[in-house]
Amino acid sequence: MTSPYPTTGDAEGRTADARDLGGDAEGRTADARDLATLARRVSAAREEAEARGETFYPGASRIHLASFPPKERWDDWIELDSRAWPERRENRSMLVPTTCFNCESACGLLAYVDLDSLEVRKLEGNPEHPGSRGRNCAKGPATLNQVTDPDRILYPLKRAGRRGEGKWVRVSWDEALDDIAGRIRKALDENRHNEIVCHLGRPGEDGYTERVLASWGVDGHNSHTNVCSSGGRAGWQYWTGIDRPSADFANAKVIYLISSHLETGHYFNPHAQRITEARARGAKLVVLDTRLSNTATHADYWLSPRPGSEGAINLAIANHLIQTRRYDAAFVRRWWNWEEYMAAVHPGRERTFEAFEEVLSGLYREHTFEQAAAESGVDAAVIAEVAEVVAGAGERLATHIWRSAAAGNLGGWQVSRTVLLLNALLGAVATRGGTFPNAWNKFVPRPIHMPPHPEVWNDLNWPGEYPLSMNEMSFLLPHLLADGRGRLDTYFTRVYNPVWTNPDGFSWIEMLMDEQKVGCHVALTPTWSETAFFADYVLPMGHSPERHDLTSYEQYDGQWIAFRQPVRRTAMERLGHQVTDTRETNPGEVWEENEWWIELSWRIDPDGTRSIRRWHESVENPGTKLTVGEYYRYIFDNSVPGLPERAAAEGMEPVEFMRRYGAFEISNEVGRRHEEQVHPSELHEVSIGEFGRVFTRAPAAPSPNIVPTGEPEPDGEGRRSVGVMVDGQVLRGFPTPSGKLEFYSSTLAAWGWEELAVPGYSRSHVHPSELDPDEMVLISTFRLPTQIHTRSANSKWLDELAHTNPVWIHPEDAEQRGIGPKDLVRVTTAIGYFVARVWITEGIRPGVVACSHHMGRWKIHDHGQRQMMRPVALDTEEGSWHMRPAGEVSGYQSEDADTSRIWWSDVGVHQNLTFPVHPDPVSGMHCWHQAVRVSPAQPGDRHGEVWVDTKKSRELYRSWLEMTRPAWQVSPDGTRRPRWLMRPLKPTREAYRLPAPSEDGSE
Amino acid sequence: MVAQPRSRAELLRVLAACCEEPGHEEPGHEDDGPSGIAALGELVGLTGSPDRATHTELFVLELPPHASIYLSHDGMLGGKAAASVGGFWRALGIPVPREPDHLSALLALYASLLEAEDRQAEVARRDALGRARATLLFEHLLSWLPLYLPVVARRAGGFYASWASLLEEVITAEADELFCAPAGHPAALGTTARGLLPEGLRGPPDPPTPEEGGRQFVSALLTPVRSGMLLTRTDLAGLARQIGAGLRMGERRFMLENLLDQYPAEVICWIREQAGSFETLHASRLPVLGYLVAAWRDRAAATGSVLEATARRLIAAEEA
Repeated sequence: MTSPYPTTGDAEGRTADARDLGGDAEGRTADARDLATLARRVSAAREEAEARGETFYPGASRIHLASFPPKERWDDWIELDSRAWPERRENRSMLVPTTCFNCESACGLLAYVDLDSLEVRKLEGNPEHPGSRGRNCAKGPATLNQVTDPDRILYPLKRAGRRGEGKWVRVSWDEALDDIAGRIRKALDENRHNEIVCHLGRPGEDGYTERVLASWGVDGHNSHTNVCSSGGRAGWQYWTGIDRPSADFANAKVIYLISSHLETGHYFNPHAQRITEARARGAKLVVLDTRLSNTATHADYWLSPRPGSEGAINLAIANHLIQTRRYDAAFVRRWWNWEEYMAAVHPGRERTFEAFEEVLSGLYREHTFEQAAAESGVDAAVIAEVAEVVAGAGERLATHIWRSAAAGNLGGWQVSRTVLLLNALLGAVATRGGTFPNAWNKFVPRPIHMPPHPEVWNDLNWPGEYPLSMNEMSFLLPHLLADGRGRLDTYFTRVYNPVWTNPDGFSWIEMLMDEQKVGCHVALTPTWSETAFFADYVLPMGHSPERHDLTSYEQYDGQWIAFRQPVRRTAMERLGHQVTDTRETNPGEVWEENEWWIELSWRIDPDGTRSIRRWHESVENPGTKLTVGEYYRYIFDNSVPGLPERAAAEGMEPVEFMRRYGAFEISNEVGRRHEEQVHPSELHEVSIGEFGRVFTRAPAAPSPNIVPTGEPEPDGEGRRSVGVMVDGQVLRGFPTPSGKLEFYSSTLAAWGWEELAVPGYSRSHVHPSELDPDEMVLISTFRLPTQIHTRSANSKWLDELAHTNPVWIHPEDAEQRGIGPKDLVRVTTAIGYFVARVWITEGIRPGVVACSHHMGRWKIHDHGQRQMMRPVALDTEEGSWHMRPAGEVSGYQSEDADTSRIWWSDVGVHQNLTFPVHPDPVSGMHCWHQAVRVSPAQPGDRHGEVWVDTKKSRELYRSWLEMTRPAWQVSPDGTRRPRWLMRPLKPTREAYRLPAPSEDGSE
Repeated sequence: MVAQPRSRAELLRVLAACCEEPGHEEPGHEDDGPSGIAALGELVGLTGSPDRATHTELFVLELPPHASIYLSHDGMLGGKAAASVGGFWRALGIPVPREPDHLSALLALYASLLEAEDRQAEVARRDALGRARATLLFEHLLSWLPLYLPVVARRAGGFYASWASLLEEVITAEADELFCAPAGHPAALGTTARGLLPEGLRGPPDPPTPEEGGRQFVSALLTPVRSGMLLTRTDLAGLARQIGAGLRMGERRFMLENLLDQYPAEVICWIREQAGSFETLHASRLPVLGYLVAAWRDRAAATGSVLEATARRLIAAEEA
């Protein structure tokens, strides 16, 4: 049969302007007019619907990627009850947004609050959240487990017997508040400000607790950061004056991770989804991880270096970029402080960029692929291939390191500094697909009150041996107290569990048990913890759907805020109920921190004479107590650009908008802030430093965004730094002393570490040359993707997924030591040992063992969580501590039927107890990696058993202390610390001055 | 007059939404007025209202709206044909959705490209987006919708029949805009300039033949790209009633195999008639979509010829 119409091959000879399909084009356009009308009608209808704040297209996932309840239905959302099937029973809920608190990402959650019972039925993703975009990991929905946890703490408790004995009585909030406030008032009145310390785990709201402590006039903020991310931060701070990376993963061409960022970490879910998008577009993923993490399994290049050698690989890549001249010379010339470097280190040479390039070319010449291979054990050809991939990324290189190698090794902060060297060479700083300083992708709105920073310096948090430490030396507290450097009158542990999380936990127990050292220990916690067992007060604080916080985190090149709120309270208020404080809507007498701090501050200063109360007073009704409602109303009305207008467009007040949608995006595509020209109005009587730093007498306009950054010092005549001169223009630059990217850190050089002033590689404390032949390296820092430190102890959905932490060991190492599959082993550290089960796997390199720190929860009394906390017997004698399992977890009856279905008994081992403190002498980071001996368990050893000698841990503390270069020896200006460096609380200039050596107690 | 690209995109999204399950997006609200999809349908003048049972019958059981079924050489969901659509999403740098070849996803993608093209100020990028849109329309929509939509219209009635007709009209208008563009217009496409067919329809007709062997033959009859026609479970049930054969319910191939075992000549004659109907149907659309439907018509015609000969042989054998 022959077709009258052309088919394949029949169109030969057609001209380019006859591209129709062979039909009748004329006849076909007759209907177009009707379609045009129809299309316009649809457009108009959509615009109308969206102007009303409604969703136009129904939630079909294929139309707009994901399916969420349309937001105009959030007040009364109906779902069929799946358990009632086949009956069609309807559940009616109010959908109230909050943010997750189970890691630092603050992903958006939507709480389904049952309209009949006002209980939270479930938690799902909030599509209005710009960071997480409606997606969550398992930890988000599992928040429900924490809310309904049958073992949670519901009422304030006070110790009844000896500290740690496990006897408690229920007390009223009034009793607890009056007692604690009285202690603090007395300490302040007696000028014992440094005896008040608050030790924070996960921060809830940027700066909130710091401001409370500032309002009391104490330098008592102590964070967990030095056991977490100080190493990663320090490398960033010395380069940029800002302490975190914000990689634009979604637009990257090459993603270079020294982390397991696709499965855990900050900010795992928002970042992982963007890394996944980039990979779908063809981006290459390079992962450096000694262990085959879930992230490494997705990598195009997985490099498994010897722990601590990551910096050598970074430098070999940097050297390749330099030797092949693949770096962005124009960017380096404009933005590195090379002139300052040449003047300081090569004063005899001409101060030209060409001369610098010559020096640079020689500086890293020895860091060849072969040298990196010898250090790392990774094949030189693989490193060379990765170097080429990195070179090809140009400005679209997104790098990230947070804990990992930076948290594991002596000098780990240099790993972070050498990662950023790659970005700085390629000009991939604050570019599309590059890596930004986090402060540009973060917005911390100015609050209603900003109390001044304290007039005192707390040497227990900021000891003089560590003048450059990134954060407080929190994990040294037991040793500093044992040194006799002070005592604590009132010590808060707030959502923090140092006994379990920190290294050397038995020294923490010794400290907490000693009432001479710690007068009163107040544990503010939503759940039982190993630390709370040694408290005088245990005060229940809310989980994420039970508290207020305002958060903003760098998750892409944009700025947003998200609102954590007590969802039942919001739902009840929307339904017309009057709520005075959050305790009325939380389970039991669980409170929220913000209200608690306001209440406590009022009781410390009941008549306002101590100038504390005024920082917690209402502005709308002077003389009365500030409410959380007013606190946030003020912020949303005054400090969030664009929010009032956006809310008004939907006919709402800003606070109503935030309560309804939970998040607001302030800006998108922030771009290269450092290239912004300084406005002429800011340039008044300027002075220009030798290397181009520009100072002005014009006062700084108050910014609504108070995100923390470095604060470069004024010039000698008091002008503030405002920008930096680059090619004849005054540009905003970076918040460093030079205003540029500090390839050469004059700060490190001036404070005694001249040999480390440029990015470099120094050998870790677990370098092969430091190990005995039978020693291995233990990696203890990695997380299990679905666990949450302390708070997942009773998150049953998560516990079922992961509940133990075997020791990863390579088959060759296992065979050499006569260790078989699932055998028990004894892992011996410098101060003790732990007994664990092995997992023999090729997912770890030979010579290295690994054990996740998430597990091994324990309790010494009946109370505590029952799903993941193993009962133990704890014996001690003159510094020798022995922990032995005294039972197993098993199913139990409770109001939650699932608790009878616990099928696991192995909850792992608490390895951190056996780690001595390893403070990095520069960054102050605890260097987690351990040199260990692994041997088959000995007769009588039991899984989970731990033995430690805290006398040895004292010796180790002292030996690491010897590596420091204390401020009283190296300070160039008689101060305790470079004032421009970040510090959560920044005491007055007078307090920064070093005391006379004898007063310091350190010489 | 042609509407602005953004409005056309809206219309396409509405039509994409209309083949999603109605009411699913807001259970419990069936009683407070029309569902979201019903409201959209009303807005664009569709008759009747969508209901979940009809939707399930049509789009889940009878005529799943996935390109792979109608363009693959095994007539199955997924496989190479779906992967090829997935590759297209990937090439555009867009995350591949779970069902990249679902009609709703394809229409939404087309709408997004239309908007992106309209927003793009840079000429080269705008041209690239125009080419991508034209490729999507030509390769992944026009390649199978001329077969699919008329069958939906005929089978469904009411809301979905009017949806299928409107969609056909809208798709045709988009084809006009792209392929009847004057010379030099960036949207005027290279692929059609050489008269090439979409990848799935290239090559001469390869009609099912009994020589392939029983199962393969039956499969080929039920594979649109081989037979040029689309037989549903309802069609086969109707056939069984018509010839008084016992119907064994199951997947289509199982049903047809059983019918052929019972009454081979009658069944082949009936399929021959169906091929003829499809040939007529495709021919009636030739003035609109030209050689694209000619490819379908030729396939139906080739199948008709093979079956004609087969039927004659069977009848002769029976008579003998």
